[in-house]
Amino acid sequence: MNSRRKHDWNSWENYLSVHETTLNKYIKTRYVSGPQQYTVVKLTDQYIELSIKGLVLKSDLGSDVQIKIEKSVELDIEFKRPQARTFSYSYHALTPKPNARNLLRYCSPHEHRPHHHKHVYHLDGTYDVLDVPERTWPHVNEFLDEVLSQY
Amino acid sequence: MSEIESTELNNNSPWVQSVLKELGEASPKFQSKSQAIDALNSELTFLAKSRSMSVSDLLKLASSSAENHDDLDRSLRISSLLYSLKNS
Repeated sequence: MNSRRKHDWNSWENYLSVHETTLNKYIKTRYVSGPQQYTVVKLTDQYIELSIKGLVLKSDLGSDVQIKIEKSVELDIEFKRPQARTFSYSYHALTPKPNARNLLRYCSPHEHRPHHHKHVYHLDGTYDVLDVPERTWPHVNEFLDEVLSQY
Repeated sequence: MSEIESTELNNNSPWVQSVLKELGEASPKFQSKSQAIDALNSELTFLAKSRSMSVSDLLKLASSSAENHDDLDRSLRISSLLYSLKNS
């Protein structure tokens, strides 16, 4: 039985590779416009931010969906090979610019809402906020599969 | 560097290699976690003031707005980052 938790520590190199491979998979088959790679910023020596904003992918239903992914990564640099894990994230799907409209957004906890959750925005202007269990918040591919099959 | 480590590095894609190299050479945006928290708090306060509202009201608006606005997105992101930094 695999005892690793879903969002466990990983080597930093592997963390980056997994994100690149996942993103490339969707870009290869669904790319419409926008950046094709993550931007990486060193917030502090211990905290790194990966983001991609304005990527537009084609959904299963033929719609263009704008994707914005922001992940903050905590590094443990005491190991010979630094270890990494996501400690804060936002996965956001919206209609393309101009007049972008929110469709779905997963957020890690914040002070206003201190637990993992997702915002689901409806066409009539209403919205729901649904709790997401602590250990099962989605990987990027799970978020993209959800979005690209629904919108 | 041992041959094993060298092989591992060479197995990384060009993008991963470039990220590792650039981050190794880059100065951090903030010198410490506390400095990052202070700067993010200031940015969040600025965003709220720009809409003439409290931070709390800004976050409520950002959570509920179906219209997309960069400042609302950023406020949620900052709030999430602050929460994680303060609790890590």
